[in-house]
Amino acid sequence: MGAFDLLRIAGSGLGMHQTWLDTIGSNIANVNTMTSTDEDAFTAQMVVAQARPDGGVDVAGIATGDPEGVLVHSPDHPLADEDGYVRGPAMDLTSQMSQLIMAQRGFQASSQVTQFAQDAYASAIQIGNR
Amino acid sequence: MSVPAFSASDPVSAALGFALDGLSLRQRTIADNLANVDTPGFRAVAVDFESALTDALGSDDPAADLARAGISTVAVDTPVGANGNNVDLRKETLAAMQSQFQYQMVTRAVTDRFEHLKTAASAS
Repeated sequence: MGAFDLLRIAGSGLGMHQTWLDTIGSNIANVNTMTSTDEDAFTAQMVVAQARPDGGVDVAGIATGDPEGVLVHSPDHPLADEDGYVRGPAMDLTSQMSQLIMAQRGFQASSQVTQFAQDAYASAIQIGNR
Repeated sequence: MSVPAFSASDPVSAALGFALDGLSLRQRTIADNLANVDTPGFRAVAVDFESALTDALGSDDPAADLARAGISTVAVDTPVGANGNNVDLRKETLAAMQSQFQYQMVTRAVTDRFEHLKTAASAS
């Protein structure tokens, strides 16, 4: 257990939530990204969080959604095949938006902990001072 | 019977030191709970040092008891949410604030105790 464990743990929480926020941002930005039917669709990225045995949290990996996606009938699209279909991401915008709020709240919680850590270290070095 | 300054046999210093250890561990645990607020399957952990402190202060030799006493961490057994996680964001944030103030009070009390011992040592 290190002297600055509080900051290390809070930092890992900030890092994981930052990664999660980044992937959600990319997912939402690509919610209307279409590909031709003979290519894979844009796949949503999902962060896999895992608790560290010595405290804190790690990004264990990034899972991806279904490359099948969904077929969208859009004959005017430049990438449409002869039947008028393009491939869109199989992504739920509602779920992405609610995850965005969760990730933001989690980030704020760890950010608050860094503030507490600073105050704790500051009061520890004041011991013996008048 | 004189108590040497800064010795572990001073029950007040021992109690304050024990409280600082307990509060440090509690803050670390809260940080861990909050970092894992979205981790699937994570169970919140709580720290209890107050019961050991209370027991020791009621005994004949508090300093010796505290030197032996351990600080216990227990898994919180509140109902878990959909992803197997039971961290309560509101509860942990409030506990973080409270332990923060407690920590500052105890560090202040440690300084006061040292002042006392200094005064006692310089009185002749």
